[in-house]
Amino acid sequence: MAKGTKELKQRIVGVKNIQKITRAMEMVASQKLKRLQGRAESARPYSEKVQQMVARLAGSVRSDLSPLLGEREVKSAANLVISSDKGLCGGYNTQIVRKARELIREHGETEQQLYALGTKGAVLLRSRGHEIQGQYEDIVEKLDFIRVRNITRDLVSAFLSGEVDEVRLVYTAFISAGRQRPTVVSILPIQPSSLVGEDEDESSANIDFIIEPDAEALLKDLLPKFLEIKVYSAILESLASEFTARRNAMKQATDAADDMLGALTRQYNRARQESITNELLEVTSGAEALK
Amino acid sequence: MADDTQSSQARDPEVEQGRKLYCEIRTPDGPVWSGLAASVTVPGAMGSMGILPRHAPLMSSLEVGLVDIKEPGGDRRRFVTGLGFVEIYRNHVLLLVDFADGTEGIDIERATASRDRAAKRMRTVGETVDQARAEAALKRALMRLRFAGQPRI
Repeated sequence: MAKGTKELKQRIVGVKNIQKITRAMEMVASQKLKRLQGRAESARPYSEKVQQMVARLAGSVRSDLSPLLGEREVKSAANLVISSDKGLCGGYNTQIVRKARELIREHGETEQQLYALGTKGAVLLRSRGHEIQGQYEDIVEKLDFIRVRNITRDLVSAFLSGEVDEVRLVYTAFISAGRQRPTVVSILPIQPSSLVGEDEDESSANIDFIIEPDAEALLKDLLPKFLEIKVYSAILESLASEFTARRNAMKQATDAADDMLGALTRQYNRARQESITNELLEVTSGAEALK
Repeated sequence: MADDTQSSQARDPEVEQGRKLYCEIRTPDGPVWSGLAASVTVPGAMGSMGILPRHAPLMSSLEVGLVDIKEPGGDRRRFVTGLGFVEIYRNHVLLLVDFADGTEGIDIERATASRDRAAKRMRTVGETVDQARAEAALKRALMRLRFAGQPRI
């Protein structure tokens, strides 16, 4: 056989093997996505009600009742950047890092602290010369509500101690299966006015509730819970976005491998045909010469 | 209170007339239980609190403890619940808690094992971030053990 066919054959086998891997990863990602959507779904009834209770309470009390409601001049802010631990998910991490850097540029005159959840984001931010104040070593995918509570507690205590005057989440909002967008939301200080709008048709808004132990104490319990669920759902949304991005990236890779296989197979067939033709020519011209 | 997660039981005429309660338990991991009840006892911040139909609108925080639901047929359902809140409004008792374990399903052996594991972890981890997690696990295991297999009354 002519030179080249052997190499081509090897490349075809190689591409096929890679395709097997990308196809498997695509399937794993879509399974995980399904599970995550289920998790987000089951958290929703709880989080909606917590929001509703916060809105109802916070709307009726003075903002000095809880330090978490207190707005002050922003001299420094903490930003929790949620990214992934693993690569091979398309532009997911670069997009969220770009969003974080945009934010830093926008608020250049104030101090912007960065907290990273997910190793990829931390690595990317560092490589672009940003300092990370805190990095959470947890595996994002395995985070449970209790760990999220600890992370939230860190952010809240940074806010309460006066170290930062605002706390934001930088995460990828999962709008629909086809649309995810890097998003920034400010979670601290809590602005009750922004909550009340969320359920206007609230017939019970003006009902006089008995509040035990009292509004202040209840808010003290409720507000941290509210923040936890905010962070938790931001993480769940980010994860759903991550796996969507990964599934799409792996689908593209699988399709690209298909194209590549087609081209390589054509090339291989041509080379093989060429070598056969050459051999035939040699045989016939040899026979010719013997006449 | 039109809320699409509520089942048809929530609009049961007997609930609206104030003869029964509609009770729902929600956790961050998903809804645990919902149904009609004759009375509900919850571990309120000010002590255990019994709720009967036609209760005044109320919001309260909850301690880790036992939620006791008496169903209209006389059956009882008990749940070991974590920190959370309760809202009572128009005969709807809505519990928002960190966790809720039905006492019927508690496996004593498993609960004992997880208590020991949590206690051990608390001694070894020291000041790390996992302290809070171990503590929560221990509390939960202790509560489960306390109410495991209690006879139905």
